[in-house]
Amino acid sequence: MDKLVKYISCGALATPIIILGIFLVQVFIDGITHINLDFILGSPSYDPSKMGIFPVIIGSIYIVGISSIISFLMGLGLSIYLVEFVTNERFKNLVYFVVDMLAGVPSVVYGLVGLGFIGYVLGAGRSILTGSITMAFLILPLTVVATLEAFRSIPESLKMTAYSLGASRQEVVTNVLIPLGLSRALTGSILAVARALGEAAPILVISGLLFTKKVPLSLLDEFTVLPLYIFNLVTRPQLIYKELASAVIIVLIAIFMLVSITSIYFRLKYSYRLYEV
Amino acid sequence: MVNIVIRTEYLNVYYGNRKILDNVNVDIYENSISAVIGPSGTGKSSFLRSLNRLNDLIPGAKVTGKVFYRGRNIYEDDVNVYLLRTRIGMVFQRPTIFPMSIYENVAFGLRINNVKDEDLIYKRVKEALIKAALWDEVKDRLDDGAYNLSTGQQQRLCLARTLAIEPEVLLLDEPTSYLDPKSTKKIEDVLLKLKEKYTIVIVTHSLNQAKRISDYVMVFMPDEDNIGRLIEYGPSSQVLQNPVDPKTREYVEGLIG
Repeated sequence: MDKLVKYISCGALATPIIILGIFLVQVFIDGITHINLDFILGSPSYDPSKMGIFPVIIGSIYIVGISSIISFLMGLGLSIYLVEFVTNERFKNLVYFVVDMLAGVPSVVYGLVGLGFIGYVLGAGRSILTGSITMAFLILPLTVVATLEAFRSIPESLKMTAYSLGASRQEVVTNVLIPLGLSRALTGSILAVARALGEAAPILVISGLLFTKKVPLSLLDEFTVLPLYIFNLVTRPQLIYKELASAVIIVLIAIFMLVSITSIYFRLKYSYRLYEV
Repeated sequence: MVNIVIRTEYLNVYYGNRKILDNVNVDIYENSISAVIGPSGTGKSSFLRSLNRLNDLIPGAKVTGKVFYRGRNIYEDDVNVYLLRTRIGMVFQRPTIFPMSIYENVAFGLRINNVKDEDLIYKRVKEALIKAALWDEVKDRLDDGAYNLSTGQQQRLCLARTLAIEPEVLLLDEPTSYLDPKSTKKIEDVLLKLKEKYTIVIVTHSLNQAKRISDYVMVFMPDEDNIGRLIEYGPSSQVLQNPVDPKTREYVEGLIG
């Protein structure tokens, strides 16, 4: 019986790793031949042999960068408020419930609301700005969970100590919560960054562009992002487009790895050891 | 003539609907060590926290009655609690170390209280570490992480951190219960020295500790409804050797004998 449980759990562990492995190897084999400087720094072309994705990479970096910053700051504020200022348990639970609800809303709905409200009512159009703000709300549940977890992990006794030394609530926030929780909150938010990087549906609604040669510069420029471009490529029947799609996926994964490694670096550099004796 | 530093009148503490502490009336005298003893769960820590209004921060906790510090009721609305807590410092049961260097741990309270002059901070940190009998052990490694200290050293570091902001009263909540006898002795020696300048209230589980260091003893006991009451208070020699209350006698003899 023990053995059976062991095999089942071992299988449960192995399955996702094997599937991910097969997927990565396949993508790598298909796409790696197309990865070169012209591909990374060139413009999209109707001729698949001259295909480049530079404007798309820039679009993705814009969207991910801006939405992560907005979302992280919102998550930070919300978590600090919940952890340090709200004493009413019912209200806290209500907020958690709302955040869970937000996580359950299909991403295309965010796209529609974002386009309708930010794009048309507020007049930001089908721009990077609209896309980033929408994406920020889409990943907010993830940043909230990450920042909340980081602040909750700070021992109550350290906060009490700060109070006993004459700290005000605001001083506890700036001298205890933020310095001790920030690195953990940042690394925890990496999932949110991954989500922002990988989402296609809301951007499809907001930008609508599957193909653009123009590198976006200002926040009000139109844009497209990597997942959308992959979507564009895989809808075409020729084999070459399948390979190009794999190449874009490799770029996408590489960007994500870069973000992850940076965050691990910061975690190791700035993380405090938080434990009680 | 001994001066009264803290006086409580009809002090009650509640957590939610549950009463923890009933009608405590005590005077705490200047430059003395008052030990608070009694079984677990009789509100000793709650009593301590009501003296610097740390109970304010505990969800559901409510304090009624009056606590006078130097003649001023600290539960009046216009009292500056943050200033109050710098006058009435506190050390907790477990060492509460910030993940910073030894130096920054002691400087923490000063920085929070907006002391900007680095020379002054250094001077205060050094003085505090000397008072807490830790200076000689750490003076060559002030920039090391404080986690590398032993538990006993960490607790003295916490004491130094509190001393650095120059309070008048020290509240200690079972500060030696996680320490070995040697470290305990060091803390006790420090406290005996500190009492010349400070007024100290210490919660302790150890009757021997109360005997060794205290001038006055408060005995808290649960009544039939399990509400903590102060049943005896007086000079420690009298309370510990010749208690008036039969429950105190039982407690004192039961644990010693």
